[in-house]
Amino acid sequence: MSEPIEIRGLVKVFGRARALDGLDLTVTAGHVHGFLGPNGAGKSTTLRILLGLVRADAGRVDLLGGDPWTDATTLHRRLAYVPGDVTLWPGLTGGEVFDLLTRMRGGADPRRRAELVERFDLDPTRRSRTYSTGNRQKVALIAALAADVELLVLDEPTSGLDPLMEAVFQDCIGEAAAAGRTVLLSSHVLAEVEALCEHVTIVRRGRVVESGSLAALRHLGRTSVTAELAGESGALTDLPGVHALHRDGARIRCEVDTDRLDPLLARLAHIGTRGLVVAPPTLEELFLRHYDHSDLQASR
Amino acid sequence: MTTVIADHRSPGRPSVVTEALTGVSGLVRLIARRDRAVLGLWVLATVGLLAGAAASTASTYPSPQARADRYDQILAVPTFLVFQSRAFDDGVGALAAQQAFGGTTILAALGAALLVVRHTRGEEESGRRELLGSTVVGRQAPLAAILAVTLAAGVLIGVLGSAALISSGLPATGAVALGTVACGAAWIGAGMGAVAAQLTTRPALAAIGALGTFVVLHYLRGLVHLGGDRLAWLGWLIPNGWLEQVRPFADERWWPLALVAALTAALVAGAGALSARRDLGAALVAPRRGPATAVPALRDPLRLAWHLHRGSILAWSLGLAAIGSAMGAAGSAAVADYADLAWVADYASALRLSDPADAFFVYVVFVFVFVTAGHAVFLTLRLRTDEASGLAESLLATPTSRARWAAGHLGVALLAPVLLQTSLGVGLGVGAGAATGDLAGELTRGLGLALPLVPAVWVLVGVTVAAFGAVSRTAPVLGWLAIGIGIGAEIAVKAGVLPEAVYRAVSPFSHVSAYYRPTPLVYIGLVIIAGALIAAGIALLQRRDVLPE
Repeated sequence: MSEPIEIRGLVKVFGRARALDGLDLTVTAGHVHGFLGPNGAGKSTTLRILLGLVRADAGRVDLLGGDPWTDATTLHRRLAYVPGDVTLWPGLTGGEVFDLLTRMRGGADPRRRAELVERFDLDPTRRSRTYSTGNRQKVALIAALAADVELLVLDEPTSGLDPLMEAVFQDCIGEAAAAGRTVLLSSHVLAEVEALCEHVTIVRRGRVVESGSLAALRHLGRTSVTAELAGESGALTDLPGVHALHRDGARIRCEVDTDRLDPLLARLAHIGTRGLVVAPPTLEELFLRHYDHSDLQASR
Repeated sequence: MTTVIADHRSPGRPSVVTEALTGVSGLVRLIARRDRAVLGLWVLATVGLLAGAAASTASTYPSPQARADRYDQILAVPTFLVFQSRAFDDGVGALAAQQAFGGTTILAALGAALLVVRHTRGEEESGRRELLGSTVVGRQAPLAAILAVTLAAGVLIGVLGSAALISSGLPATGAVALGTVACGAAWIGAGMGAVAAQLTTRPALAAIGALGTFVVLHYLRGLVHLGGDRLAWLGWLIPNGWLEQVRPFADERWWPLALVAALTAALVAGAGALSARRDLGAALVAPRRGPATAVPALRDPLRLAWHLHRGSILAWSLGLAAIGSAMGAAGSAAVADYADLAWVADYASALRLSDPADAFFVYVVFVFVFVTAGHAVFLTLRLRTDEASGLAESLLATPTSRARWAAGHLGVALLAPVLLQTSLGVGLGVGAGAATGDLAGELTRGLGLALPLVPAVWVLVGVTVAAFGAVSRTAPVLGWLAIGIGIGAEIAVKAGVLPEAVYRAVSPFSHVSAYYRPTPLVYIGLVIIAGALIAAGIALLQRRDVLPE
């Protein structure tokens, strides 16, 4: 069976701007896949091509076994989408919008609806024009989460939510994944991606700069080590893979390539440690390092 | 609170008033920059209406005898009183003022009210006001800035309008009086817009409220005249009546303008007081809650479109029915009296109509079909606004195809002209039937005149959809342009400056005009053209990107 989303060499040009420049993306069935990148990297364009709203100029796109441009209506029965910038009909109430969208997708279980309205703490009797950004997002999220679909496509769905609602959102995505749904989550909230996603793809200027499982990406990154030492540390930088060493009296702080961790720990143990903190690389570090690097390249 | 601040303020500190108005000059420049095109268009259109009335009066009634006939006609036919104004003299200037009064005052007030609402409540709803409010801008500064711009634009209308009238050879005193009347209408419109913007959280509602009040008062002013001397005192309660009483070119009376200035000042002060008392984004009338679940019918694009548009269709239908019945009642009586007058017979024969009474109704229907057409194009353009706002994106991500989405708005846009023209026809029939006693006959005549124009409106819907399908942002331009061409061609061909062949080529309305004696084939042809344009629009829509802006 093919994967829910397979994209190869995707190109989209708007006028003179090349929004997508040979983008590849594979999302495995049943996974929550993080889709990261700075503003204007081409994330939303990719999602709109996946939904058949925008036509690709080149490349192959396979969505749930079909072509999103020609089979949009059929494929949309099997997915739900939350746009990045949620617009609602100003004169309809949140509840009306919610019912309208779910009915167009084939209806939703009223109990599920009530449960989600309760969990997201939404007042469905207010007119959409009186909703804040976060509340508009909740309406779209509830409509998407209530739908009985295989695939959820979410474009920065939590940018307007408060931390409490962010937690509810993470619970709901966890449940969706447990139920076997596939989720493509475009996001700027790295903690959210770290908590939810097995796989991530990082895009930059319309191309993928990094893709793989979070564990594998972490392996590529650097572990940060902070130690309180009993003796003189000496020149730790002679060890392979040790970077950015800072010394502050008996305290040292450095980064080390994760696959070169053992020699450093052995050396520290030999010197004698009073305290030791070893932190795995965070997504944020990966992300920032990648972008800084790309920025340098781009500015050259 | 205010007094406390005032008592404790140190000598170097700005006063409360200065504080509230900080930043006005910057905002004035921002408004002038953002809306220079709209402002210019509004001022020029209003001035153009004044100048046009002067020119057409001089050419339509060249001799003193023709002007005397016209004066009698205005006195006798209520329609002219209700829609335009009283005539106070049979000179060219006074007749021009009579003809220009309705259109000019309403257009002046319309522009002013829309601008004020747009820059007060409109900015608040969009959230831009909040962004500005966080900078060094006083609480009352946005209201003060747009009022300054609009009142100044009103003065400009007065000055340019007077100059245009003087340059067309009319006496200076009367010209200045008529220009000042236009300015006064803009001022009242601005004041009403400012107050309405404080009352509701919805910009569209505030604009319609302010404008609707002005237009209704205009017609009330006319209806009071129909009541004769017994009701004359009532006229002094209506601001539009004060403007009318200035009597340009007929022994001008200047003091009613003081009432206009006082009313403007009161409205501005009232708006300022309301604005100072409320929170940003709040209004005197709080938004109501609605149903927590949607009615079962709300489940597909067509029924969604009907749900969204039914209110506006109902309002416009009632409006056309009301206008139709007023015209029907007033018109049938007047035409019966005037059927043997030369101008009525001329007009009827120009339209190749045997019954002179028909001529009047044909005229009414051809004026108001453009209201119906404007409404239909407006409904069609919802496709464009849905796409730009991102609503289309949300809908098209469900199993809704582009064709079904488009068909939703189009279905309603094609149905609406049928309903609106039916309302107009029924209105005419009921009004005329009440006057003549032949209700069935008059209903048949009203509907028979109003409904055949529907296929021409459908062609304009088709033009708008075809443009939308090809390139989204051209739809509003081409849609409104098509209506503009329709109105322009209608006027130009009557004035004799447009060759008939061109008129036939550019205006779908020409083909349903009684003058050309349309056959059933003409209607079928128009329906086929509309259908082909709509099909082309939907086919083109399938091929392009659908992107929010």
